[in-house]
Amino acid sequence: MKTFINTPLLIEQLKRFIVIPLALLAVYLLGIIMPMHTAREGVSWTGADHFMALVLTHSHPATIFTMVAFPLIVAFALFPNHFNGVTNTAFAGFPVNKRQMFYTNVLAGFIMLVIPLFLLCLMLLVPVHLQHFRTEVFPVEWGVIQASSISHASRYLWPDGLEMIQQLNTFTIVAGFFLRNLLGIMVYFALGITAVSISGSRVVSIILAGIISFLPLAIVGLGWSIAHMYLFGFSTTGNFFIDEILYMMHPVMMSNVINDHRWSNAPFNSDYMWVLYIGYAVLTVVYFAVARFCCLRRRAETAGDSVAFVPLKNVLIFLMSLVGMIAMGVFFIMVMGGGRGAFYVGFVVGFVLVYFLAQMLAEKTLHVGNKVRKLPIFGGVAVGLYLLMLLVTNGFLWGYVTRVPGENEIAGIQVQHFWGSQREGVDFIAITDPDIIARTREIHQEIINERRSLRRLVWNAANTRWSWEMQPQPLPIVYYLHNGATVTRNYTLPPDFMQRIGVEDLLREEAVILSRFAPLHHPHTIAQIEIRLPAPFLTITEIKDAIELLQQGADEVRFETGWFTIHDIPWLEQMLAEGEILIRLQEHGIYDIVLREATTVITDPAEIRSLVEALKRDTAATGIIERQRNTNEVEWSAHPISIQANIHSYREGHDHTWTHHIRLLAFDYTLDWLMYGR
Amino acid sequence: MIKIENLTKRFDDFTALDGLNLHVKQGSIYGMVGVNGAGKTTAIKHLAGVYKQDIGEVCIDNTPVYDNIQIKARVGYIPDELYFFPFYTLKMQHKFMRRMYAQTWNEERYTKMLGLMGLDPKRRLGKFSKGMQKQAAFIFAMSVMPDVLLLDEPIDGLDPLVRKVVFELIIEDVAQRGLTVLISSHNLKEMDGICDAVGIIKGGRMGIERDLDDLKADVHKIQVAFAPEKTQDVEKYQGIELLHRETRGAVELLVVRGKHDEVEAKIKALQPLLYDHLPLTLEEVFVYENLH
Repeated sequence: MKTFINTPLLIEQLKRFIVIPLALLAVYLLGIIMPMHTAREGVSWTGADHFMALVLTHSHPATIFTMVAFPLIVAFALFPNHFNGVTNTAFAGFPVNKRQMFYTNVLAGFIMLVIPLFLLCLMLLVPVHLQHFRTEVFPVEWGVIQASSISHASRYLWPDGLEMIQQLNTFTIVAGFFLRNLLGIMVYFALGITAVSISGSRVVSIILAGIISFLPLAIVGLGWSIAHMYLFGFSTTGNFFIDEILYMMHPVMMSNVINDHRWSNAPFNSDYMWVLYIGYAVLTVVYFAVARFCCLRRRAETAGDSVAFVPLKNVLIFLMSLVGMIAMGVFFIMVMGGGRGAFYVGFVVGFVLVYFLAQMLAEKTLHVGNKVRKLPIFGGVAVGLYLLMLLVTNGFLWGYVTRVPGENEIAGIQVQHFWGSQREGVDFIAITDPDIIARTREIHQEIINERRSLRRLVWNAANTRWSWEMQPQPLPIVYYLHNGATVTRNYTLPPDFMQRIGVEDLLREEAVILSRFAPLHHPHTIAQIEIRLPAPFLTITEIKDAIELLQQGADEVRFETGWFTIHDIPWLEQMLAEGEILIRLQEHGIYDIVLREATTVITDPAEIRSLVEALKRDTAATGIIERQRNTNEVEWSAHPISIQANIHSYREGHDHTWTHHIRLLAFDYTLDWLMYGR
Repeated sequence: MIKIENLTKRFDDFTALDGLNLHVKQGSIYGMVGVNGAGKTTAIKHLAGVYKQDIGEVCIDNTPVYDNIQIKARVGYIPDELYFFPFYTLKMQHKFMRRMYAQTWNEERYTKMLGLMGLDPKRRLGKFSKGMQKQAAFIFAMSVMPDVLLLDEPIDGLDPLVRKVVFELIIEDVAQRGLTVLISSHNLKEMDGICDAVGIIKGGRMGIERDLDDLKADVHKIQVAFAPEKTQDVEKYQGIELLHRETRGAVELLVVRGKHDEVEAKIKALQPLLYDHLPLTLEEVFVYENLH
């Protein structure tokens, strides 16, 4: 240990920068602990719970800010010798070698960041425990909280829902928060150290920290957009989630990941969170390794230089110029009316402009006129890369682009825009209907045949400003082959083209629509179905009066219900629609249940099986309505209300349920089942 | 004790040191002189373990210096530009130095030097004048009890009294402990009195490296006067290595390199009316060597 850490330097670094952990602690106190206490004292129980949920899921601005800003500040503070020659000389004169200097500073930074976090967690133990306590004492209040807050809090906070809340372990919750936060902090600390190890300028270090942190995203984003522009049909390869995983690898996304997926079953739900955490841990180790390498290799005379390694300086300049080139190319297409000419002019302007800006930054001077000599070399490399990409996209990958699996190879398919649905907790099942498979193959072949004309659309400036209705739509196609392989393509197509080649018709097929809802295909896995109806705003009498008034041609109808005022016709229409349902339900004697709870729960296996049949019909009809809405064949107002089916289903090997939310715009069969079928 | 062999260091396109050789014996005080940009500071930074050489060898006690904790712990280094931790008082810096050099730190010397210099330990180092900061740096460097002391332009800003105190201590350490000192300075008058050996760096290379006495013994300042018909005749000095010649009326001032007896015999053979051997300072040696 002694060969890695220099104790006097460690003590001195901790003493010198004691103000940083104190400031961090102050932010924790003022931004988290005090507001938590204030919210608790207020009348709103849900406010306090909401606040705590935000904090513990790392979604609160104070937790995000401290996770990002403080580690970077610490990293920048601990290596002043990288920024200044005089400081560097003094530090290098101490009887400490570079390795000790690096590890000592890393340890100092870790201590400065972890102690305030640890203290915060100690302080959190009490409010988190009290939260638990209150669930036992005020079960009625928790009923309210459940509707607005517990469901907001992540399943990582209340893993098994309200019914399991009395088994909550305060220590586990806070320890989980501590470890997640620590991981996030370490990612940013390692990132900061990497930046200051590469650069000798604070400004460039900040830019570098930004560039490095967004590098995985930038690579994916840039690669995807270029490929899309030049290689129509190229998309994420093999695995649907490769870009999603890279996207989530970015530490800023940590809080979003936890938030976005708190109801999700893919790809990073509670079973998959470890993938994310391992990703972050690997990222941290990689950053530290790069930082260590740079710290040990950088020379004292580079202190204060924008980039300590000359080859990296050129790489940085080139990358910045390349990004400027692409950005300006796209900008020129938009402002100059489109076409390849505009794109290329933008390329040249962007590259040259950003090249000189990058040179100014790298050389720390405005006088970079002499760098014009190197411009042809940098430009040459860019042109070379461009030509290489054209060569690859126009030749080498044809086999990939034109591949449509043979009918006898295919075991099943998926064809659907699935991202949004999946995040709502929808599982897909593979479609095995031979007719659907054949039609999908035909459509796929048609897209490939038309790829040149489709690619030209990108160059048309008008297409960059597509109207909402004309917005290209994604069309993922997945083939599951008999040999266990998966062929994945994700196209983005103009709606009229999709209409012409029969995509719309395909997506309206019942088999395709229902493939999004796996539990409906496996009723035996369903433990419970909740049918949630729109909560009535008016009494039955008021609804009946309103219908009468409206039939008499009233432009405006007002009701004072003691807590509600209606004065808007679309609202009224919605309520009347709801009212009609309620009237029908009242006529069948189940009105009281609906009015009181607005939800009916079915748990009997036999009832579930028969309800599933009704749900399948309504789901298919709803899918058609949604597609019609997409193509403007149906007005939005034609189906003003929806009911929701929440399906709680089991999965093999898991001890808790997954919840699938199905929103039904057509619900005749479900209502009939409620009224007659039970 | 200190050995630099064929040291080459380039900064981008600029070659700061170009095959420098330098040797300092243990227990000696070595003066490194050279014009601005000659490479003195670069050479010292190699010895302090700040810079890594591109080519060559930089050793103290036959051990490479760069990134070597053991060697750096034995070296006291006062750079030309001083750095103390921001907002630190003398007392705070003292605590740090005491911890950092725990094995060799001499608290008694620290207290003694602090008393001699009269610095306020509670005052921030950043508020000190340049001279006071230099005094503080000397206190710390001497209290470390180093085996090798590297001083880069150490006298700038020090008043004569402090200078005297500092050099007395250095000489005492050289005599008693065998301290080896390397001083880079422009203040050649001061070095004249204390250095045993001198190295003159020119363009990143070692020009002359000698014991100071030998150096002075090889360069001579002579005042001569000839009969009027001989005064303007420069050719008469053929065979004599003339570093400098200056005419003041009938009197000529010559700076000549060579053995004393040989030089005297050659000039006296020219039958001067006046021949005087004048004392030569290190500064004059430095100036004339560099002009030549």
